[in-house]
Amino acid sequence: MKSRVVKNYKTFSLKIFFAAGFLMAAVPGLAATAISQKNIAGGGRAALSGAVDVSVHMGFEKISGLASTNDISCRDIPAKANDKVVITPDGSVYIENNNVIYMSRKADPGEIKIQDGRAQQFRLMASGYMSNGVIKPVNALCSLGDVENISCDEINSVKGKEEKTLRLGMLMRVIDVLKSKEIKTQPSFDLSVVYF
Amino acid sequence: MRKILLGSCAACLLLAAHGVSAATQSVTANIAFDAVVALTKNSDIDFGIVLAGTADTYTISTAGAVSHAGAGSELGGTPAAGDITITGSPTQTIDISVGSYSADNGVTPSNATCNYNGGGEVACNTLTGAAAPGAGKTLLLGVDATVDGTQAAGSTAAPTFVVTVVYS
Repeated sequence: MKSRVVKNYKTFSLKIFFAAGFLMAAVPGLAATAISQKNIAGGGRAALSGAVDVSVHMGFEKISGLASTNDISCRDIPAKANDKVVITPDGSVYIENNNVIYMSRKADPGEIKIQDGRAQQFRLMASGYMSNGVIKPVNALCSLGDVENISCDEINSVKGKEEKTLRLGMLMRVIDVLKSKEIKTQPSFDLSVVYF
Repeated sequence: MRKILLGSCAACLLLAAHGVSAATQSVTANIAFDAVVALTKNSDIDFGIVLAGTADTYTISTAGAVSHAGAGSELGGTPAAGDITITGSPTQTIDISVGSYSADNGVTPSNATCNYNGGGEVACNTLTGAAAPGAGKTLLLGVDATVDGTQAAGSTAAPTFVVTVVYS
């Protein structure tokens, strides 16, 4: 896991671990004044000048305490080229092939603790999807509080709290033919908490 | 006694003769009419949200871009430059100045910058003899804000300064 700050955002890079191989051969077919007008007193220029107070607003917050307690681990997934693989934030795994959806065994979803005392609202932003090997991450899925299993980018108004647990899944595609029964790959993406 | 009376009478005649000989002087009263200069504030400056508890100097440009010099960080929010419309004379040039910087919650503003009528960003106090405002010209404002690092998370600050416009 690595982290970096990208301008306005607190960004975490999250890797998706494919800890075990794809069993393509084993299961064939599955893959965010007031205005004061003033005249300067003191003589003939009274009406020839104007002034206005300008306020400079600034809010203060901590950087979110993002602690990744688990990356996403797919375990063993029986997939093949062009399959769509979905790991939901609760760990369920679905594999779609030729419009047929198979359910695989449970995987390990990602988990991030968001810790701070924010007064501001924030939204989540997933970006920087990096393919690795034959796996292309497409869309990060999030569950946070009462909101479950939606695109992380759709979580766009979260009120600050001392701690929240964010669970992560991922929609991926197998973009090439698997050439080995044992393929381990670590695609990644960045997850940002953006105050507004 | 008699001589004296005659002398007085002569003086009176001289005075009367002088009153009859009148002269006229035309005096012109010059009055120029012009519009009162007026400033309408469309928006204050907003730095958005920055890192609490960390001393730093932040700068917002007249385009609304926030940067910082030290250990601080911009965390989000909706930064915005100040925006003032100046109206007044269609012919009289103006001088723009800033002052009366006032700190709040450990944040001290300074070095305000101005972009008047799209002329580019400069120190406000260098704007003398600027274009006559006429029916309305835009003044965009940036500023430096020195943060002393005592601000708690969730707090806000609203320091102020004054923009003054006079006819040149």
